[in-house]
Formats: sequence, structure tokens, C-alpha cells
Amino acid sequence: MWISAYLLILLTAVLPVSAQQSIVRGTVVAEKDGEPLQGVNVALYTGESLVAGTASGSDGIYALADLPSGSYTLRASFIGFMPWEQEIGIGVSDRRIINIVLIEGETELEEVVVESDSDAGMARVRAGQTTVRPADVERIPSPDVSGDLVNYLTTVPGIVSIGDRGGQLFIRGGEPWQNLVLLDGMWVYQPFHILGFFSSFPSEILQQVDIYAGGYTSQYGGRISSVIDVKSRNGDKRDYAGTASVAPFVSGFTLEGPIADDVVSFLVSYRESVIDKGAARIVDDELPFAFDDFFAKTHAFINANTQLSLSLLRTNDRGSVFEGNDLEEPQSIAWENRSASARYLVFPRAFPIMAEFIISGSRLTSEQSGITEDVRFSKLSSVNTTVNVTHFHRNSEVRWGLFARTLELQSSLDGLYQGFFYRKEYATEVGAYLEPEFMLPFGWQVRAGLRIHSFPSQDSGFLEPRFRAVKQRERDEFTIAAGTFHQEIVGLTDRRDAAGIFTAWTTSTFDQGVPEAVHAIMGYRRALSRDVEASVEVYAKRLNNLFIPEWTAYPRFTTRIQPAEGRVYGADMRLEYTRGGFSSFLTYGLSNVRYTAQQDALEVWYGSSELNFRPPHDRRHQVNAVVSWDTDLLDLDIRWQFGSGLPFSRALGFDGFMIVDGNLDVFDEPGSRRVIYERPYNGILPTYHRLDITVGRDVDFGNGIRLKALAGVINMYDRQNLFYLDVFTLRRVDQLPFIPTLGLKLEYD
Amino acid sequence: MAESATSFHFRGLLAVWLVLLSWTALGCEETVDPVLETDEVFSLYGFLNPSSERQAIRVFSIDGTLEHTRPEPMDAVVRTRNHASGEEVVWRDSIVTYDNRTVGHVFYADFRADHGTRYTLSATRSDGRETTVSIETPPDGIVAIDTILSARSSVIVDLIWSNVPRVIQAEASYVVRVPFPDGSDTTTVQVNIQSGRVEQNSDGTWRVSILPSADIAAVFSALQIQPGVTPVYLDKIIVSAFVTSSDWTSAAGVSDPELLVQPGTFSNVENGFGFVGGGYFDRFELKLDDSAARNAGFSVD
Repeated sequence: MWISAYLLILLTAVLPVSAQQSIVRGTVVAEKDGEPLQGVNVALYTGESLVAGTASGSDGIYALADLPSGSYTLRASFIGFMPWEQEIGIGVSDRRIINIVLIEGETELEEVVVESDSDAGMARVRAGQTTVRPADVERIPSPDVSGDLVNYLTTVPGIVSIGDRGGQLFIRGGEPWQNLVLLDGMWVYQPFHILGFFSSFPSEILQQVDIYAGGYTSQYGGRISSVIDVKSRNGDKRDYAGTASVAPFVSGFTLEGPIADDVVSFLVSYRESVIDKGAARIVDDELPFAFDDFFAKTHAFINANTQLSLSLLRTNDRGSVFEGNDLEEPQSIAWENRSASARYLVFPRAFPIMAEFIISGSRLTSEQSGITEDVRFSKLSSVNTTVNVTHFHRNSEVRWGLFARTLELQSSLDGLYQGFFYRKEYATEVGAYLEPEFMLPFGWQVRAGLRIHSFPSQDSGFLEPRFRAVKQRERDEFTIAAGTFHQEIVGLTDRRDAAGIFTAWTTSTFDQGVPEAVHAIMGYRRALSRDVEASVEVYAKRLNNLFIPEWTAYPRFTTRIQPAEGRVYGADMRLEYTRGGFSSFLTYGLSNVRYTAQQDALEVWYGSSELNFRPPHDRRHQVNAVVSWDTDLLDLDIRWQFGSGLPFSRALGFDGFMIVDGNLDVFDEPGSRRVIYERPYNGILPTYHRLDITVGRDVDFGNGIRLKALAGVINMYDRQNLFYLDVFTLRRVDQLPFIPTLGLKLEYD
Repeated sequence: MAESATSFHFRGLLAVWLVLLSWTALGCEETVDPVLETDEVFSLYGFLNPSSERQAIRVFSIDGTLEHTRPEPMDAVVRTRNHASGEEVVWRDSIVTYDNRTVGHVFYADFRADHGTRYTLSATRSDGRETTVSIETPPDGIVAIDTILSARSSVIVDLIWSNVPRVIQAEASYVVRVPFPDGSDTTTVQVNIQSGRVEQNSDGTWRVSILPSADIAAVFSALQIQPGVTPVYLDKIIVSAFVTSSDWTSAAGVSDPELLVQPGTFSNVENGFGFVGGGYFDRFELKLDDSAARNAGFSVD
């Protein structure tokens, strides 16, 4: 029934395509370096009367469709750039491509006249979606002289980080393996470095990041928690530019420039940790972490209406998180990401559409090893092909697309997962989506999508309805999002606590079906004044067909799993103040995550067939306060973060266990050590809070050469935040102590 | 004017920061106590065996940290008291080093437990805290052959144990003769197979069924000889049933270690964990006639 209604709405939206109307589209780039600009307001006027308007998308592409013939003024405005306008004449059924070049300069905020869902205002938060730009990342204090995306992510309410070590993010109750991370269309399976301050995404390579903490659009699928869609810069098409930096944690460089002026560019970035030579000596403690990442991209404007980009990412991480106890060996972990993609973008002259073709390959190799134990490893390889098409209309658009993925999954887990010592699987995912955007009465701008996601290898398929709606009213904005999501590929992790990093990937094998999530989000944003904006979102997630490790009193790693259901409720609040060079924001996240386990043994153990509990990533309260003050002399960045304690399983004590039967010979049978748990996750770890401050100063040497010096302290009041508690030996591993940091970055452009 | 406004806002935010910092400075370190601790003292495992001259149980102390047992004397005095005779026996501690190089405490005492008798076993620490368990040893059972069903390739032997509370497991041992490769003589070998099926009859007796015609494959496999090539002669079958007291049963009704490992799931110990029961292997020997042995797949002289 609702599918029929959906098709009716869709026809209503698509039919105007046949009208004999004209279209104007093109690409908006910066004059300085030819970089596409997203979120530029592009509008068509007759005199001072607005005819149509839009905002440029992630590739700087804009389109104004269904235009009647006539003489118009095409205007473009963007904060930080000089206003642009051009007189144009449009004939009947005209197909115009007008590329816009904006020159940096001062502009007035009042010139903002158009805003679409692809852009937002100061906080840029809409129904679970947060849009992040490099400048946002740069103002979060970091031990590196350059910013890193992960430091911004951990300021987003609803995103829980396990801390300085391990690099795992839990987004609105979801687990790390439920997050989809894309870089230029490439799937990056474990993108966060082993030291929690760093990811594969330094700010120098970022153009824009869209974080969907839930309720994401039909374009995305195959994950049930969140999407982090990273788009990289294309590189300077006019001049060569670069940076080189040294700091106690990482050193690296970036290089970019034209291969063919204004047509083809490249961007290369490389970073390598220097922790053993730098930070470890400063804190006089062993920090057994090492990582590096390499990113390369080339982008070409093949002609006025086509673009091609090739991207490559390589990351390596290795280190030790668990340092061993009397019964278990120290465990070292290593993982590698290898990803490459080709992206072809075209907007044909004859049709009011834009088409994007992406083919990418990704591979994640992980291994965990002790001193004498066999290495456990997991390898996930995939080839992903995607076609995304956008049909433009005057005040709406219709998006549709096709996708196909093939995956190869290998794992060796010593028989700990369903008795398999070595497992090799192949999986496929194919499907399509359709998502029109249209206006409803009372000013609601709606995207109602339907995604068909099929898993032929599992002989299953799903219809996933998606819905996003935005209503703007002067200083207020209301947003709603909802949808269903499925995930065939699942990650197995030892979740005795939240610090488990090694993830083995496999296909879901439970009889009850593929993991599924239903999201619902409502948001409200209000500009309280010219400088102050507040937003609040409430959300709920229902998680079905989950699995969690079976509980066992044996003190060892287990990937034996049990079915579970999950419920997540929460609210994210954000208050932001920006004026001149001063900006600050305060975020508060309230979250309530409950899992209901359904292991058969529960009846015997606890007297009920189900057990409701808080999983180890359920951080109930989270606060982030960030202040950034840029003056002519210094740039000051301050961040204070607070998180309430995470659940963990407290023990009553430790003893031994033996099976008593007629064959028991106590002189011959050694038995096993055992943990006497009361109930799973019945304890709460201490709260987490930390203050980081950095001060930077730019020195301009002329001729495009600048030196940026950064000094600061991480964990200024030396809070002993707990990272890992070995319940078995009472040994605690704390997060990073007070660390002074100093960095230098030389920039040339 | 704008500068002034900015300064004002900055001072306001600075004040907020100072409040936050003052608050956080109140406690820069929080301790966490991951072990709740328990009044339970020891975990005990084993059984009193009326058919053995030596009784032994494994004793684990319940500790606050998880460490391997050290080869040091355990702060425990283990004793049993026979409720019928009033006899009290103090057990001896022994430190056993196992094949996996771990160390454990086994307390033992040299006496034969009486059938059908209640004992109290206690493990007492020097501070007076004590773990106890009440054990009922099973009475001496009576066993008899109920039926021997014999057809070609299908031989089933049913035995009945009476006067026993429970039988929880059974196994069959096949004593067979196998000729030497040159055929000059034969050697006698005993092959143990845990194949007996146990069920309780409506009259409270226990039926143990063995299937020689099915077990013969395991016999050949254990002897590493091929059926039909080398003759295997059956001398006798020894059926062993593990007879226990009536309380020897887990709430789960199964013996899956992953299930039973949860403390308290299979326990009869007070102020501690583990299980100490009363039980013994009751053995019965039988011989199949030539027809039944042939039907089961054995060779006949």
C-alpha cells in the first residue's frame, strides 16, 4: 500500500522532467586553487526577484532546472568569497553549462539566500547529519600541528570513543563494525589509528565530511549504525603547494599541484608516527604504538561537464593494547587498509541529470598475536561498484542509483568462532535505490527513499524505506529522519570490555536473520541571535538480530556468540557561539543503550530466558566544550571533554572449575581457572574527563612560505583516566597522562 | 564596539571554564574496585567413592585476583564426619603439579567411604571461615542382565541396576583376543568404549543398554584393524555404571562445560562453589554366546 503511495509521489516528482524547460548547471570552484566549493548559494534572478536557487554539492556542482526562457542574473555567494554574478539569456529547452569561479574576499552573511539539505548553517547539524569542514577540524586541540578528523568526531555528542588507545568509535549506541566509512567512495574498514588522536584523515586532505549518526539517505547501505562520508580535496590546479610537519606523535608532509594547469591536479599526503622517539620520551613511558598513512589523489576536469578522480589510501597500524596477565599472554595487534577508487562524474548536456560512477577496491588485513600463541587473522577484501544519478528540477531533485559489491572474507580464529579454525567465504550485495526530493505543504522539504538491498549469497533481500524532512522557518529549523537498515557482514570482537580492537569479519550466520536497525530522529535548531545557535536532537534506534559474545566464566577470549536485541534512546544538544575570530561550542549527549541477550543458558544461570543489560560502550553522559580564538598574534584552542563511566563486569572473585563425573581424577585433571561474575556489566568504570590546550602562531616569511608553530598540553590537569582495567589482576592501564606537545609545520603555496 | 562585545563574551566563557576546571580539580583520580568480594571461601570438586581405599578432592581458594595457584601450603583444614558412626577424618593437603605445569591442591584421606551414608565435608580457613558440603554416598547396587536381544547385525544387552539412587554414566569394555600377524597365537586386549545408554525405569531401577553390534566398529578402530580381514574374538564384556547419590544432578541437566562453568549452576557446596558427590563405578561382567557374538560382528572359535 505504502509502496503504491510512494510511486505516486515519485511520478509526481519525475513527470516535470518531460516539460520543455531549460536548465543551467555547472561547477563552482575557488579561483585560488581550482578546488570545487560545496554549499555555494547559486540563484537565478529576474531583476531582484528570485526565480530559482540551490546550493552546490560536494563536487561544486549546481543545477537549476525547469527554467522558463528569458533574461536572468545568475548570482553566487559564499562566505569568505566575493559575490559573483553574470547576466545570462536562456532560450527554450536550453541546456547551459556555466562554471563559476569565486575569488576569496569578504562577503556579508545577509547574502545567503538559499539553503538546501546539502548545506546548513553554523552548527550544520540536521537529523543526525553533521557536516564538517577542515576549518572545523583544525580548531580542535590535537597533539599534532595538523588537525585530524577523529578529534572532531569525538566532540560530536553521541559518538563515544574508547579513548587514547585503540581508535574505536561507537556512534549513537552502534558498534564500530556497524559504521560505514567512505573516502571518495572507497570503503575503509578500520580507518582510525591505534592511537586515538589520529585517523586516516588528516585535515590537509579533507574537503568535506558528512557524518550521519543515523537516519541516512538511501544512497548508503550495508551498515546499520552510521555513515562517515569523507570527501577529499582535489589538489591545487594553479600552483604547487605543500606542507611538512614535525611533532612528538607524527611527522608528515603533503604535496599538491597541477599536472596540467586548471585541468589536472594531484594531492599526496604521508604521515608516520614518531611516538617512540618523541612522545614516549616526553612521558617517560612505553607507548607501544606505531602507524602510518598514505593518501594520493589525482583529479581532472576532462571537459566542461565531466570529472575523473583516482584515489588511493594505504594505512598501517601495529601495537599492543593488552599487556598480558598471569594467565594470558600480551597481545599485539596489527592491521592494514588498502583502498583505491576511480570516480567519474558527468552531467550530460542533453539531460538535466548528473551521474556518478564509482568503482573501488578495499582490503583490510588484521592480525592479533601473543608470544607463543598462533596468530589470529582476518582479511576482508571487496570490490564495490556504484552508480548514483541525480535528476534536477527547479526546486527538487530525484536521485537513484545501483550498486553491486563482492566480498571475500577469510579468518583464522583457532576454532573460537563456531568451531572454525579457518574460514573463507564469499558474499555479494546488489541493489538499487530511488529517492525523490520534493516540497510538501507548510514548507517541508522531503526526501523519501526506497532502497532494495539484496544479499544473494544469503538468499535474502530487504526493502529499506528511508525518510528525511526539513522545514525552515526564519530562525528555526525542524528535521525528521527515519529508516531501516540491514548489514550482512558482521565484525566479531572480544567485547569483554570496550577496549577490544581485533575484529574478525564474517557473514551473519544466525537463523534469525541479518542484523537490522530501525532509526528515528527528530531535531530542532534555532538561531538565538546572529552569533548564537542551539540545536537539539532526540533519537531512537531499534537493533534486531544482533549478536554478542556469549558470557563465560572462563577467563579467556571468546568469540562464541549469542543472539541479542538492542534499544537505543538519546538526545544530543549543541550550543554554538561564533563571532569574528572567536568561536566556541558546547555539546551534551545523553544516551541509553540496552541490550537484551537471549542465550539458552540464561534460564539456568539467572532464572530468566532473557537478560537486559547495559553494553560496555553505553556512555550515559558526554560533554564537550571547545573554544577557539584566533587573533593576529596567536590561535588559542581549548577543549574539555567529559564522559560518564562505562559499564564493565565486576567479579565476586576467582576460583577454579572442574567437571565432576565418574571419570574425574583430581590428581590428573588440572581444571581451569574461573571468574565468579555476579551479573554481566554490573559495574561502572570511573568518569573520564580531560582538558587539552594548544596555542599556535603563524609566521609569514613571504613568497607563500609560512611557518606554523604549535605548543600545547594534552590532559592539562593530569587526570588519570582509565583506559583498560584488567579485572583479573586489578591492573589498570590509564590513558595518556599530562603531555606537553610542540609542533612545527612549514607551509608553501 | 564589536571588539568590546567579543571581549565581554570571552570573559563570560572564561568564567564558565574556570567553574568547570574547579569542579574537575576536585577529583583528578578515581579508583575503581573491580572485585566485589564474596563470603564464599573455597570451591571443592570430587566425590566420595565407596569402592576406593583413598578419597580425594580438589580444593580451590576463592581469591581476589586471578593468579595461578602457587606451590605453597593452603590455609585450609579439610575434614569429613561420618554421620552414622561419628568418625571424623582430617584430610591431608598435597600439591600436585599437572601436565600443563600448573599447580593445584588435592586433599586426600585413606579410608573407604561407607555405602548409603551421609558425610559432611568441611574446609576451614585459619580465620574460621568455612565451606561445607553434605554428601550422601549411594548404597551398594544390585545388577542383573535383563535381556539380550540378538539378531543379525543387531545385538542389544540390557542390564538392570536396582537399589541405587542414580546412574549417570555407563561404559562398556570389550575384552577381545586378536591373533598375531603370523597367526601363531592371540593376544588379549581390553577396549573401553563409553557407549552405554542409561535410563530410569518406572519402578525406580536403572536400565543400562549396550550395543555390541554398534560398538564393534569402535573396537576395530581402536585396534587399527580392518573388519573382515583379521578375526577378533570376544571373551567378555565389562559393563561399568557410575552409581551416584540422588542429588548428583545439575539444574541444566547436561554436562556442557560452557554451561556448567557458571558458578552455582552445578553446585551443592555451602559458602563456596563446586560439587562434591558420592559415587562409584559398579562393574558387571558378561559373556555373549557364540550366536550373539557372531551377530554382533565378532569372530567365533
